[in-house]
Amino acid sequence: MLEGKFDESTLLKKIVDSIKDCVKLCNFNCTEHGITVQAVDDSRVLLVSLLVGQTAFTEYRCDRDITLGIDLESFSKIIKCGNNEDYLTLLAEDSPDSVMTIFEDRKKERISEYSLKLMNIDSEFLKIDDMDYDTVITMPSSEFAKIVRDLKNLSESLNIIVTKDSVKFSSEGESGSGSVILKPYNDLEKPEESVNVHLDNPVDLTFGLKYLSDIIKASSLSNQITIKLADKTPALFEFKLSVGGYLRFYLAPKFDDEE
Amino acid sequence: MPSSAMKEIEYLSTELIKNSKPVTYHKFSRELNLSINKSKEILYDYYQKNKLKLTASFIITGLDKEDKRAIKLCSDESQLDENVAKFKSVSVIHVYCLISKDIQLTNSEIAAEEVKYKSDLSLIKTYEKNGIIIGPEIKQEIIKKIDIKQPTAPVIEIKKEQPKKEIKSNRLSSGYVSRKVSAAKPSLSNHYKSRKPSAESASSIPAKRPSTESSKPTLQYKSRKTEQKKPKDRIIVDDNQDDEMEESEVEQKATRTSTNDLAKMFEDEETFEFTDDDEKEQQPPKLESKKEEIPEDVEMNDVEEEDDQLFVTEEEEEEETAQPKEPEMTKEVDEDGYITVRRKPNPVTKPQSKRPPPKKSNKPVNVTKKSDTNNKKQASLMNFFSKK
Repeated sequence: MLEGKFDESTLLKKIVDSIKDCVKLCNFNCTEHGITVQAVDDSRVLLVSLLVGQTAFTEYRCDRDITLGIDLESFSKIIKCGNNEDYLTLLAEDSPDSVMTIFEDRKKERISEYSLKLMNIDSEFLKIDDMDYDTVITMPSSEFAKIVRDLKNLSESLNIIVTKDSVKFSSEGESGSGSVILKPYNDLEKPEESVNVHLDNPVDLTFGLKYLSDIIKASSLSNQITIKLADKTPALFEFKLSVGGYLRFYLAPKFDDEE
Repeated sequence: MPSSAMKEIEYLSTELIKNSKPVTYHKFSRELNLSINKSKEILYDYYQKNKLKLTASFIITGLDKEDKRAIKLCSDESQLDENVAKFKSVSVIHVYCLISKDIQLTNSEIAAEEVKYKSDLSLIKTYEKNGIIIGPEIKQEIIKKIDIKQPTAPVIEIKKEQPKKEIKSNRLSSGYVSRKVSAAKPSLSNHYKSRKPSAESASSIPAKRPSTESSKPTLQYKSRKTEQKKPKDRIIVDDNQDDEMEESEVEQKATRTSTNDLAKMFEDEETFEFTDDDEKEQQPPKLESKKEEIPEDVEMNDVEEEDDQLFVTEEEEEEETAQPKEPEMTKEVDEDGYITVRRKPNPVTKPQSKRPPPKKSNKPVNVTKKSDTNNKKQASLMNFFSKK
């Protein structure tokens, strides 16, 4: 039996909205420690890895490990039925064919119940090893979102060059080119506004802006994004959940034709 | 008296009189492996026989005047009757401790002495045989509490949970119970604490190193935050490259300040070989070129300087090539009988030819720049991660 109670339905709403555009179907793996999701987009370029820790719930109970095969588009529609401040509860049996979502209004005496049929989803679970990255950038997620949105107007690719003292995002298209340079910046009053660059080796990588614009949809989950880069390796974009857990995106880089 | 009793009395006399130490029934029982009741009896007997040398403390157990169970330590035999009077009914009075009359010990000192004789869990069986010790010692009380509480506690908890579940099943098919019912809700407002500003990462990166910009091509933009302080020099570049002008520069500067643009042009024209009559025809092209100059003078910067230089070289080149075609120079005799030499449409064509070159020069810049970012091939995650 799974019973997970969120204090507000917003969190789950934001999570589902963040990933539903890159993955349509995915397995929610529920264990006693919380809920995890790993899913790869159809083109196998972007991987989503989610952990909603036990602490993100006001109450959580999962007697046995359960896999919920969820069609995110339908799930998103259900979640939108709840108001942001509603209590949200997820319920599922031990070997479920459906998952129940229950909303309860905080003030009014209103309880709504939605059942979503589950699917059998064949998913390849990829093994992701912990690795050392050449560069770790921590910056406001809104700042990164703006850079991606702005440079997407020019081209399909975003080039990220990290050197000792700066991070340069640039893109080049037929109509012109653009670049944004960020330097480390420490805001003591608003630490979430700071830009931190930890550099072991300089990095020059190119990514598809199509995927990056999917990633920035998760900006609502956290004020900050952590970007981990290493040469010829998928980049890691991480949004930490303040209540416990994370949403990570692994994005394969673009290479020159010869390579 | 049996030999065992002899041993006990020997022990008591050495401890109490020789060593001047207190002997409690507990210590006595443990040391000589006696049953507690037996040790109390022997202690009492011994006390009775040595009343002159010894003081005894007693423990009174029974019901006090409010009918509550009470245990009282009576530290002196003289207080015994007084203390007994405080009880409604007394169940037991027994010896607690014997002390030599020569020494004065407080209760806590006796207790401290007791601590030296620790209970050993491995010997619990022996203790049991001697009768489980019920006394004012801390350790024994703990054991009591555990024994009593453990069986009762879970019973209470189960009783509390059960009624809740019954309510659940009554209300919804999903078994959902309104969360408002459960009062204690931990709020989610515990704000996320930034995990970063690690001072080390900030300090390891030098804040400003303008000389390491090698990776960045093209124009270099300096942050305006630092640059604002420098006043910029203004350089005025003139299209007219005549040597004569340089010679008369001082003069002209003086006149420029007082005259307007139109007047300036007239002065400039003195350097040309044109007659007064042609001035009207010459003016339009000159005006155009002047108009271009004025804004350039105002917003001087490096790029425009370069442009100006470009224009100069182009002019010269074109003049060189155009000169062979210059049979268009015509000689006329004007009203006053002067011979005027006229160069016809050249000035008009120049401005036209001036404009296209910068455009041409822009296009190749675009083409030559590396446009490889879009030609790159997207890699697949499968190249990096293996299936589990």
